[in-house]
Amino acid sequence: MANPRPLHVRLRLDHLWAIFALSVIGGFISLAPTAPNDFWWHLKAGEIIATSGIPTTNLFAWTLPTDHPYIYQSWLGEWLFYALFRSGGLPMTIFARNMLGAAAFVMVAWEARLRSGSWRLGALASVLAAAMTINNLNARTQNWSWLPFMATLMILGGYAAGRLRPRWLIGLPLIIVFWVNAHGAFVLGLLLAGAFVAGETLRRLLRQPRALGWPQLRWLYLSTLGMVAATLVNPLGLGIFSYVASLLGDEASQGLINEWQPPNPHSLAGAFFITGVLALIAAFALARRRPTISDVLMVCGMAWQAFMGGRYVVWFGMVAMPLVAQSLAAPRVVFSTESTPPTQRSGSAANLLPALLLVAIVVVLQPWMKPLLPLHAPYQAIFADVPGAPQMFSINTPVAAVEELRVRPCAGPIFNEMGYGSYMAWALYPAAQSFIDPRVELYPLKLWQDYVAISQGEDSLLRLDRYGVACVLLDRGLQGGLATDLDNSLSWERSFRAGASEIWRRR
Amino acid sequence: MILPAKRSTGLTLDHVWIFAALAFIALRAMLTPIPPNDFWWHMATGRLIVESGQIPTVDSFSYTRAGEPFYNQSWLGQLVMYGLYQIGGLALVILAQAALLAGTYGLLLRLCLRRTGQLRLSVAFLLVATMPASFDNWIVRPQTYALPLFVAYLYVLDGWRSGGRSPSPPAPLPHGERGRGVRVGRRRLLLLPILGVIWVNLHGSFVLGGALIGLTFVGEGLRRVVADRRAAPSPDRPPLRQLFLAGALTGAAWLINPGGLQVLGYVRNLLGSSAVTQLVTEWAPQTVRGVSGTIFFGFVIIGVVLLSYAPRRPDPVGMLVAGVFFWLALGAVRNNIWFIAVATPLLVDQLASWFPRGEKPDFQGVPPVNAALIGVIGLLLLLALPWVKPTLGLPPEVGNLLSPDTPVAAVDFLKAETRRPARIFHEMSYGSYLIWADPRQKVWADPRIELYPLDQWLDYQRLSGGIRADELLATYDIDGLLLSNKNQESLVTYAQAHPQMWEQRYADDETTYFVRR
Repeated sequence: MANPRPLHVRLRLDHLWAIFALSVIGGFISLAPTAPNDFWWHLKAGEIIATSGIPTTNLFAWTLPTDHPYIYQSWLGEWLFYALFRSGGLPMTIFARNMLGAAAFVMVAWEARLRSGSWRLGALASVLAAAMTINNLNARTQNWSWLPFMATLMILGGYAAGRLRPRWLIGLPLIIVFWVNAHGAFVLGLLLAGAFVAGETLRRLLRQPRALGWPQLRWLYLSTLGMVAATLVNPLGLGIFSYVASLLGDEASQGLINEWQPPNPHSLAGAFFITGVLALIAAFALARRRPTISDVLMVCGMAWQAFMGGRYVVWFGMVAMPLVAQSLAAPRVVFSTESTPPTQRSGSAANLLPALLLVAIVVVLQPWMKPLLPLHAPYQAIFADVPGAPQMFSINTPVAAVEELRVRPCAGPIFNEMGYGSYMAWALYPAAQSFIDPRVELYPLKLWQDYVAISQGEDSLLRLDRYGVACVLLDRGLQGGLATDLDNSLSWERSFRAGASEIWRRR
Repeated sequence: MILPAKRSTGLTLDHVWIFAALAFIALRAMLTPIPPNDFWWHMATGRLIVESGQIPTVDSFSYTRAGEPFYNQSWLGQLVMYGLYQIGGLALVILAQAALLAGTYGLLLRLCLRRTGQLRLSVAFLLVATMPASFDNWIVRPQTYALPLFVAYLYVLDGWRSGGRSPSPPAPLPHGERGRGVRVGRRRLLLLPILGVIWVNLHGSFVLGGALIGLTFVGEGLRRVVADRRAAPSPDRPPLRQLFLAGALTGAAWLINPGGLQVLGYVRNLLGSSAVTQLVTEWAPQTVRGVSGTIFFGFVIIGVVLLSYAPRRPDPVGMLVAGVFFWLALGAVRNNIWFIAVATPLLVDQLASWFPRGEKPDFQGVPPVNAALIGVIGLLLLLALPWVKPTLGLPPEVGNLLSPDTPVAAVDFLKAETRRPARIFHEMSYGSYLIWADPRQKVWADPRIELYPLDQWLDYQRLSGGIRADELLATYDIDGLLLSNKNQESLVTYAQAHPQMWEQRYADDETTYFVRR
């Protein structure tokens, strides 16, 4: 009887680095609460899509006619979230966010490893990319863009580097068909393709070494055209582009919403971003291996976007950090005394245990198990008590207050905090509508200005009278000015309070 | 028989390039009218210092913060500005500004030339990249007077470093000459504390001089640690202790100011002031929205491309310094100018690596034609002189000495009024001009941002926007309004809508003045 074949464990120490880094990232994502802002109204939209088709009008707010047109561009992302909700409740939706995020950064590490040959550098790249994203981990339809973005980047990068055959390019238009219906960031796929088309063409014209030949470039051009054509596979057809253009030019979004403002080095995420930019510049400048023209075009384009608004930083990190890894993989002799690359060592079974342990930590942080863990009390205190979804949604989710409004409805229109409007769409609509919600581009700038003025206590009572508001659902922390005015008013009384959420009704 | 090459006599094309570079910088400065914001209160303070013989330590310009302590750090700059004004009026102030900027960027050009030997390349980069990215910050105020000191620090530190660092390719100098270079570099380090004494009394940016020394020390130290592992250090290499000593002396020099150690607390408080960082545009982070932001990021992208593809690797110490100042610039628009100055020699050096070092272009033009070119440029300079340009009928945006939004006529009207408001509310930059033009009229606020509390600035924004106007006008007991039609349109509308309370006494295209009935 032959001896059984020995088990060859190929798990090396540098694999462990990557697993460790990705476990930290996956754990962090799993621990991050979801703010009410974008999640709930998308979930409601998903419910409506699943039950009666893609809506085309306002629906949730009373400040505009119910039939005021609105484009639910992320309908597929919304439907997917609702489908997940139907299959596994709210925990399933958060689990999806966790897995999408973890998978995206696995791809970042993988791309970095492909470019650098090192899992350690892959680990570093994924950590740096994730660090820039710490303020952008809410569960929302943008999550559905993470994987398509990385897949597009890896296919294009792999093809340009000669690692992938032309048939892989067929995947690009297919990705776009999904992406254009799932989230508005699909435009980035086209921008990535454009960067590679321009960059690789220039490389060919400049006769740079290892540039793609014309036959290979033709496949690239074709697939890019295919991507453009694939964008038409959506309910709006060509209109999708005017929608995106209107969104980018929307005054309220650009002027009033935090995540549309440029990253600020005084914030942690902003500081990580700028560190990433500096690391990239240093890597490009000091590494022996030059970035390609396509790399530079991609990075400059994404950096430009990121400097326009913090919400684009995530894409910059995903593109740029693998390039940092690539550059660090070939350090200048002056910074390294090694004259030969380190030899590959074989794996060790001893590495299996820590790897499994790390993965297990991420597993137990998933929505069904996390509440069972003895986590730090201050950490638990940042979550709202959402039925069926403990330790998932941030404390500013107005569960109790909205339930109060459901049980004791308001006698007229409600003025609400913006993020509360999202939860109201889920928990109250169609019984009641909100003043405003995070569908920023839906509302005219004047309404947003009134909202800000009322929230800051600037002639707030007068404005509430003008709008004929009967109830106010406010966040005392975010709307202190309004809270003070109501405190001092004789015509309003507080009827409910839970944490920072308060309901005020006219006397 | 081979004749020796004829040496060019007279004006060369290189002379034209140099003259053009400095002239266009001066032209830009001379064709920029003085905006009201910072200029006037600095001038008024300079006047107060001369008249009283003392540097003011409390506010005497406003009625909202009258008597409150105010640390007047830029007293020397204020004296210089006022002194120039006394000698030659606004025209001389503008001419001095132009000369200062031309000299500053001339020094920066010299630094680029010393590093690269490429004159025309350096000039081209200066005009095409450095200047557009910087000139939004060329405002007549003490900060501009600090800029030449900053560039001087760059020049001295670079000179000290190059005394022990091989240029690429190595210059074939005899040993004695290299030793001489090292000694000159060492002696020039003494300029740092001397300039530091001036700087600490001129403008709060003096700490950046310390940052330059510190970063150079750290960067050079790290570079030597790595380089010494490969090869023995050159005997001519200047010891780091020289730089350490220069840095220590510069730090000590900072104490030579009227407030002593207080000056450091002032800078710390200014940077930490939420009013400053939240409400003032030039303290806000960089954004690509807007022309100046686009130009800035365009500069950065050009830099990234140069750093990525230049044949020669950049100086790591230069990279460290540029990186830190890039961080600063991203944090606040007003820090652009320091970053651009630091990055320019680094990037020119990279650009120059595509060309052979020190090679002069053969074509130097024809001296008479070169002279004619210089003459034409000189004529433009002449026409742009602040004594000349107002007579040329140019558009106000370039032809005036003062920017059109300076409320000269409105304040003249106010001064002539028999019944004057005791507590006037006005546009912020108008406050600066009022302080100068009508010292009897105390102001509500002015661009001394750090003097006024955050709540007052928030009230300023509300009142200027016509929000809670009744309440705020009553709270501050305002009896006069000197308003910018453009920036305070809502409040102008409010006052016009309440004629029973507010009498409109004056109006022009820019300004409207109301007085309470």
